[in-house]
Amino acid sequence: MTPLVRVTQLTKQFAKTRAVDGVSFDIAPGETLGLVGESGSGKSTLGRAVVGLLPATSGESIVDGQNVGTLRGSARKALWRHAQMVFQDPYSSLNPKMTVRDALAEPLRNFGIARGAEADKLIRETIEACGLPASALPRYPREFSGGQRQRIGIARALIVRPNFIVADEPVSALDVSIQAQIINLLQDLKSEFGLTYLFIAHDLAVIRHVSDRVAVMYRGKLVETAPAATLYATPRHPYTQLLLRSVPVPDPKAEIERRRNVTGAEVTNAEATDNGCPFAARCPMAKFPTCSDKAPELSAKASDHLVACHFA
Amino acid sequence: MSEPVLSIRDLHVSFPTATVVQGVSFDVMPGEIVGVVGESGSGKSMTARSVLRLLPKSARLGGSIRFRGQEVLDMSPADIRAMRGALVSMVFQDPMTSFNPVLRIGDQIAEAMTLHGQKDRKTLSDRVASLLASVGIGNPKARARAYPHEFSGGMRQRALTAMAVANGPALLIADEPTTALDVTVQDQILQLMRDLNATSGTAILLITHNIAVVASLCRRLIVMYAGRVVEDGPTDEVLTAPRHPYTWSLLQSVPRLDRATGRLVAIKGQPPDPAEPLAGCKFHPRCPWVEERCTRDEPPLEDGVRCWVRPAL
Repeated sequence: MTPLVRVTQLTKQFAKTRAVDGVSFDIAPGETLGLVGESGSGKSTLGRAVVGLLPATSGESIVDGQNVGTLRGSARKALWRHAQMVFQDPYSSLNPKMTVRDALAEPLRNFGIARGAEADKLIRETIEACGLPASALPRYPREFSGGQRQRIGIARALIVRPNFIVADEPVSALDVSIQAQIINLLQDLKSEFGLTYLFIAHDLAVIRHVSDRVAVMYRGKLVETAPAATLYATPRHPYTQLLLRSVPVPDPKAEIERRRNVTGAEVTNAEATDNGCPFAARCPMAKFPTCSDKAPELSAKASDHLVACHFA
Repeated sequence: MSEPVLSIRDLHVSFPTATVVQGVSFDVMPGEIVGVVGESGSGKSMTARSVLRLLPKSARLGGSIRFRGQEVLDMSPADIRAMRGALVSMVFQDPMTSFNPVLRIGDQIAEAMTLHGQKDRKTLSDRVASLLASVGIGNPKARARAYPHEFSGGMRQRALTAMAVANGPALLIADEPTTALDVTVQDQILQLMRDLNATSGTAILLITHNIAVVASLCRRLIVMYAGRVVEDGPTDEVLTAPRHPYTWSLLQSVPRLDRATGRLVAIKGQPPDPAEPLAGCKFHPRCPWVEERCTRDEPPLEDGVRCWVRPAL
C-alpha cells in the first residue's frame, strides 16, 4: 500500500543544534504512528516539520503525494486541507477573542469549503462529533475547561475534513480523568472520519494505548520503530529498554517486580563523541570505539522492527 | 505505637470565593511514606502547604495540624521559621524556580544550615559536599560551586532534595517532585527518596497526580477529590481493590504500560467548580453508581471510604 506520509532523511537545524537529524519513516493510510521521546528529543520539531509548519533544513516530507517543502502559495494552503495539527495547549492555540463558531468558521472560509447555511451545518456536526453541544458555539475559549478546550482544538483541526492529523502531546496538559475522554474521542474520530495520526507524546503508556506502530526518538534521531505490541514486549534498543524499565506501574506487585530489574546506577561513558551513536554516553551496552566512531543506521532486525544500534 | 509525626484533623482551607480543602484528616507516622493523589483542584497541594503555612495571605485555615504534638496553626511566625527547613522541609515541582539563579548551589544549601545554627565554614562546606554526594551528584566539591543553570533538571531536583534534608528533618513534604522530569530521571529521584527514607528514617508526604508514582514509593495512599479525602488505605489494597467509585474510575481511565488496554473507561464530565456549591457527594454528578441520597447528603469518611453506596468494584 502507498504510504500516506513518507518522511525521508528529514533534518532541522537550529543554530548549532540538530533538533531533528536525518529522520525517515512512513505512515500507512489509517495508521497511528506514535512518536515517543523525552523532553528535548526533537519530537515536536519533527511533527511540525512533517506538515511544513517549520521549514526543514534538508530532507523531505511527502504527505498525500505532495512534497511539503516545495509547496508554495495556494498549493501549500491546499496541503493543509489534508494535514492538520492538534496542539498540547488548546488555550494558546485558540484565539481568545474568537467565539467557538468563529474559530470553526474561519478555516471553512479560508479554504473556500462552505459558507452560510452549509457552513453552519458543518460546524454543528463537527462540534457535536467532538462531544460538545451546539450551545457551545457562541461562547469564548476562556469559558471552557481544559478538556473542553481540547475538544474545540480538535474540532478546529477536523472541520476541514483532513485525512492526516499530527497530534502533539494532545492530552499531557489535561487531568488524568479528562485524558481518557480525549484519547477515546481521538480514537472514535479516527474510525468515523478515516484519519491517519502522527501521535506525539512523552507518556509511554498513552503511546502504547493509541498506536499501531511506535517510533522512539532520542537526541534528534529515531532509535527504534516497531509495531506497538512488539516494541513493548521486546524492546531492542538499549534506550527503549531503559525508558520502559523507568516507568512505574500502578500495580504494587508489578511495581516490585519492575524495581527488581532496575539497576539504579546511571551509566556515563566518557568515550562518547558527537559523531557516534546519540545514546553512547548513557548506554550500558556501548563498546568503544565502535559506538563513538559512527552513528548506527536504523535497520531491520525483523521485518517490521527497525533498530539503530551496532549491537542490539 | 509511637506518636504520629504529623496529625491533621478536620483541616479547612478557604479563600474569599471558595473553600478548597474541607475536613481533611490523616496522620503520618515516623518513617512512614504517605502518598496523596488527586487532580488539579483536589486540594492536595493546599493541604501540604498548610503544614508549613505556605499559603497565600487571603487563605483562612481551620481545624488542627499538629507536628510532633505541637499545634502548627497557633505557632508564631518565629516558631514557623524555626520549624521550616529544620524539622519539616519541602521539595517542589520545579527545581529551577526553587533555587536563586544568581547564587551558587552549595551556598544555598549551606544557607539552609546556617539559618538553623551551623556557622562553621569548614563544617558547612564538608556537609554540603557529603549531602550532594548522598543524592548521587558526582564530584560534589566542584559541583557545589556551580550555579543552578549549570545543572540539568534532574540534578537540580537532586540538589533541592539535598537542601531539603540538610538539617535532618523529621518530615519531608514532596509536592509533585518528579512531574517536570523525564521518566528516566523520575525513576532516579524516586529511588533517592526511597534511600533517604531507609537510611535516615525521614517520613515523607508525597503529593502527586500520578498513581503509579505512589505505587512505587508509598505504603499508604490517600485519594483526594474536590477538597476531601475520599479514600485512605494501604497502597496495595487501594490499587488492587479500590472501594471508592472515583478511585476505581481513575484506575480504569489510565492506560497501562505493562499490558494492552481495551477502550479506556473515561470519567464523564469534570470536577466541580469550588466556587459553586454542590450538594451531596462531590463526585455524584460523575458517578456511575449515584443514588438519590448521594445528591442530597454528603457521605462521611468511614473506614477509609467516603461513599454511601460502596458498590462492589
